[in-house]
Amino acid sequence: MKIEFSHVNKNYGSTRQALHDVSFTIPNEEMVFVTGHSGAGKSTLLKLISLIERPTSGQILINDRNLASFKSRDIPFHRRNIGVVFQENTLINEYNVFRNVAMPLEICSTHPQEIKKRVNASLDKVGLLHKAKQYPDKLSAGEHQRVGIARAIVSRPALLLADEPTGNLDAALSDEITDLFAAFNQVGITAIIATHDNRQLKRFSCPVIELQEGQISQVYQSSEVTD
Amino acid sequence: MRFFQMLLRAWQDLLKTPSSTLANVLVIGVALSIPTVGYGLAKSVKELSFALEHKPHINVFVSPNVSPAEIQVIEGELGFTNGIQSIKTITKEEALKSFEAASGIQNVLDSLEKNPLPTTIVITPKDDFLSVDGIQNLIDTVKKIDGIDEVQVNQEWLERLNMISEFTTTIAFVLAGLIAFAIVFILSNTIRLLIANRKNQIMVSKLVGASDSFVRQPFLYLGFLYGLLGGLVAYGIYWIVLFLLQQPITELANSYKTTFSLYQLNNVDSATLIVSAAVLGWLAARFSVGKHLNDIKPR
Ligand SMILES: Nc1ncnc2c1ncn2[C@@H]1O[C@H](COP(=O)(O)OP(=O)(O)OP(=O)(O)O)[C@@H](O)[C@H]1O
Ligand SMILES: [Mg+2]
Repeated sequence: MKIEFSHVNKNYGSTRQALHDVSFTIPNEEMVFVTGHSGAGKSTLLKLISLIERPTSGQILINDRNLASFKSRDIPFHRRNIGVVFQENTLINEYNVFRNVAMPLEICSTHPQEIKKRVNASLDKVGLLHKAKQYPDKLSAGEHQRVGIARAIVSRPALLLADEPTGNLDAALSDEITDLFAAFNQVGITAIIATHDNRQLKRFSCPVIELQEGQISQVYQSSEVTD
Repeated sequence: MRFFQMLLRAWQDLLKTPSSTLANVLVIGVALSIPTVGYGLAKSVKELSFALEHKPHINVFVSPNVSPAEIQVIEGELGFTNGIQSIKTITKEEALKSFEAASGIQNVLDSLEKNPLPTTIVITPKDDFLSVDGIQNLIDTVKKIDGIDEVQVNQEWLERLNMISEFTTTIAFVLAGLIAFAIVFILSNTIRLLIANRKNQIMVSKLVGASDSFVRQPFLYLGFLYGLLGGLVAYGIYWIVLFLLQQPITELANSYKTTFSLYQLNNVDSATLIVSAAVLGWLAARFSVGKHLNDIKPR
């Protein structure tokens, strides 16, 4: 998926803009990091792409189609093309791991056998096949995160949005999860990862968009990160 | 197929909170049973049989130009009519004689060109036709016979009973309307709570691309099921009321020398009750979902 922002502003109603005059282009099948301090606007940027929020002004084009042209009844179909790993925990405690991961498939009435096949494959990729019957409250933070990733990839989306996927994980697990995204990217999925984990940036060579107070402060190759 | 799948899922959801489900279903059932019992009473009055001492007779007036032979044909036809116990023919001559006897005026015919009195056939209906509906049916049938001018019955009690029945029916319908309103209110509140309880599921469903109708559907099925179960409870309550009241009412009726039995819901009545309860539940859910689902972000 190709993503183009041009002069995008987002104002939640306060005096300070969450995003201010943001323009960039992410080519199809690219993997990109978005960094910046807390409150810089990383989550807002991702929410604009998945139409959880609408820009106050400016244009967002996805595969050359203007998001402003999406009516509310089009939004579900747009979201089905995007896998999102959310910053906050969004697993359903009443559902076991399997059913949590199956949600993106159930909403478009996929055949139960197909659901089973794909959910198991997805759980296998994140190494949690053996936890399929567990409930989220029995999982560790890392396992939570990985179930969220399994859910994001289960419908084989063209775009993966990950908001702080390694938020509170140890170094080894963080590496493992970022590698997972890199692997999905290898098979043609566009990936946008919001993070302030500099360690991860250094491990890859891909574009980094750095935000500061809602504005793009610099764009660079992640391999250039020193410190 | 899918309908039953969704209904089964709703049923499983209801079973997860058995006590609140039971409470809701009972409230709806009891509420629905009130107009149902009202309707049953109205129907019962219509089928009320009359005091045997005042058995009504139906007077059939034969057209003046009908010959005695034709009168015999009419009598024959009446003999075949269902619901008639006996008939008695009073010819115009007999009518005149009794008039003369009763009035004391002799030789009425001398001053008139011809006998103005019609031949009258007096019908005694069978006992099981002694109800508002039964008598009316009988009158309608007899009226269709050729050569009959007019059919008369002592209308007063008929009209009175009809009025009571119609009045009760009206009350039952007004009650049904008010109660439907209350049920929509109760159910939409229940559904509102269910929506609040499942806020997370709804939110995540929407985030992964669920359409509005997908999110809405489970609640519509829940409303439908609530209504359906409430309707069944109302149906059950009706039979319990019937069972409890039958004995005392029969005794009361016997003391007035009448027979009175409570109306038993037929298939159409029962289906109407249960289907309209289910539809009501669905409507309530629809109303509630329309109001509360949009509060949950993302849109
Ligand atoms: N729903 C909202 N309503 C009002 N203000 C909001 C809302 N969401 C975010 N903001 C504000 O917009 C700004 C950017 O927030 P955002 O969540 O995009 O930052 P972030 O870079 O993701 O931060 P973090 O690293 O802490 O997750 C912040 O000032 C925040 O307070
Ligand atoms: Mg954030």
